[in-house]
Order: sequence, then structure tokens, then C-alpha cells
Amino acid sequence: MDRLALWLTWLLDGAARLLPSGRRLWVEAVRAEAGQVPAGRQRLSWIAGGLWLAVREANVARKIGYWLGIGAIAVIGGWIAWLGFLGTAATDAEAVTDRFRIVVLLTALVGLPWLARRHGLFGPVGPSVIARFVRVAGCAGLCGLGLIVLRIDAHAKGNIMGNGRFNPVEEFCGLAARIRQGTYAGITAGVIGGLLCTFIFLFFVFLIVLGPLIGVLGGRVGAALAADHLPSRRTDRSISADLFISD
Amino acid sequence: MPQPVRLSVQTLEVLSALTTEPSSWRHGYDLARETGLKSGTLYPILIRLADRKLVEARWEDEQPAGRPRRHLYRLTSDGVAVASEALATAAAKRRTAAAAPAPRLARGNS
Repeated sequence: MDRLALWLTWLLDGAARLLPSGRRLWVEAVRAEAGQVPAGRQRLSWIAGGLWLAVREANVARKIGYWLGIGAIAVIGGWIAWLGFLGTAATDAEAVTDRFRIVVLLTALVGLPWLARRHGLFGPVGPSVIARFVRVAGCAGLCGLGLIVLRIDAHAKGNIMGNGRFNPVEEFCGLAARIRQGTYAGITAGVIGGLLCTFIFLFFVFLIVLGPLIGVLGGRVGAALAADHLPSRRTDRSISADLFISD
Repeated sequence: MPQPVRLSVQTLEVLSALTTEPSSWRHGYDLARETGLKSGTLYPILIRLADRKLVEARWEDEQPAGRPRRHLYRLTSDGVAVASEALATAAAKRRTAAAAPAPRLARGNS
């Protein structure tokens, strides 16, 4: 049971690293008290409470939902852009537009959340001016990009609803028709993308939490192996020393 | 002036424990023993109370021999006021409940 408590304590150390500094100290407080709690079931319960605190304060469920959502949006957006790309010949001048659109769309979808994640994109924003600027500029940029895509769609040759004039209703209808084309494939791709992002997130959690534990265990195994081998080496040395003396 | 808050029974227990000696710093395990709360319940309560500035926290100043430094807690002046009011309200509710006549059961069998 003591070994289990030790492992849970290591796990608690790793879990503390998942939290921002303002919350980390509370988990460290639980960790600091663990040694004072009587060993056995009481100590296990105490440490388990600390782990629960870390999971609760890290908002793990919210983060999984967030990454599922981001992944689904990225893959659906990419899929829709890909459908637009498929409809155009590679030698057509429109293909350049489509490639540019894909690059810009994917960069915006992946890059903006990455840039702004420290300040909470789509959530509470930090108190700094930069944080507010990034959030507003990101949203405005995406809206502007959407309008540009719609404008290009309206003027592209052979498009579903394009007739060369800017008509917001027709352009939104055209976009809706294009989305309908890829609805089923998009949903499938969104689910797969979301799951992928979640797995990646959980992989990083695994690395952060279990990394120190694996390192310590690796060190212990190495130490145990060394301990097994050292006495025999000493014996060999002592034997050779004896032989040398006898000679 | 702190905003009025709805406090759970467990939060009242923590406040009650902290109110016994408001000026002295208490550590988490000490509070857990006194209230009977698990760490997974006690610490979220302490976090919320600290977020509301009702509890202040600090680490022990000096590194004690043989154990890590502890995180210590005590009520702020706002915390003392809120705790006194909440505990008084809870006590009054308990008195009212105790003074009320017991509900009549099984009316048809009497």
C-alpha cells in the first residue's frame, strides 16, 4: 500500500504541472501534507483527493471538449476547402485561388488559436490589451476571410451560384450548397479530427503526468541492475588482486 | 463589503473550524481532522474561499526538518464577518427546526 501511495504521490507531482501557477500551489499544498497523514488507507485517500483536485482545477473535461471542437472545425473547414479544390483543374488559374484559400483557411484555423491560446480564445480573455487585441483581431480576421471566400465563390467560373454580381443571399446559398455536398463526409472527418486532437491532447497529458514517474522508475531499475552487477565485479577484482599478490 | 454567498454545510464546517482561533494559521490536514472532510472536498472549499478573499493563505516561512513546508490558512477580516454571520444564521435555522413540532405521520392510523 505504501508503494501505491508513493506512485500516487508521483502522479500528483505530475498532475500539479498541468495547472497554472495560481492553482498549482493548492495541489502542492495537498502534496506537502501527505507525509503527515497516517500511512495506509488514510494517506491513499488524501493523495487521491489531491488528484481529484488537480483534475477538477485543470478543467480536463472542458479541455477535451475544446480540442474535440477545434479538431472538428479544422477538419470540416479543410474538407470543404478541399472539395472546392477538387472542382478546379490544376492548370486553371482558379486553382491558384483555391490553393491560396486552403493555405489561408488552415493557417487561420490552426494558427490563430495557437497564438491566442494563452489568453483564452473563445473564452474569458486576459486583462492585457494585447490579449483583447488578439481575440478581436482573430475574430475579425476570420469574418473577413469568410467574406473574401464568399466573394471569390461568387466570381469563380462554373461555381454553383456564381453569376458575377455580389448578392449576399445568393452567395450564402452557394456556400450552403457547397456545405451540403460535403455534409456526411465532413461530419465523419470532423469526428475523426476531433478524436485525433483529443488523443494528441491526452498524449501530452500522459507525457507531462507520467514523464517524471517513468524517469524515476527508469532510474530505479538502472540502480537495481547496477546493484546486481557491482558485487560480482568487486569479487572479480578481489580475486584478481589475490592472484596478483600470490604471484 | 463581500457579496452574500450561499454556503454549503461543508463550507460552514470549514468556516467554523477556522473561526475557533481566527488569528492563528491552520494547515490543511489539521482542518481535515477537525471537520472530517476529505482532501478532495476540503481544498476546493479553501480555493473558493481564497478566491472570494475570505481566506488568506501562505507557506510556512521556515523549512522544517524532516517534512516539506506546509500551506497555511486563516480567515481574513471579511472572512471573519461572513463566517460569523453565516454560522449565526445556520444556528438560528437549527434552533427553528428543533423548536418546530414534529410532523404528524400516518394520519389514518391514529
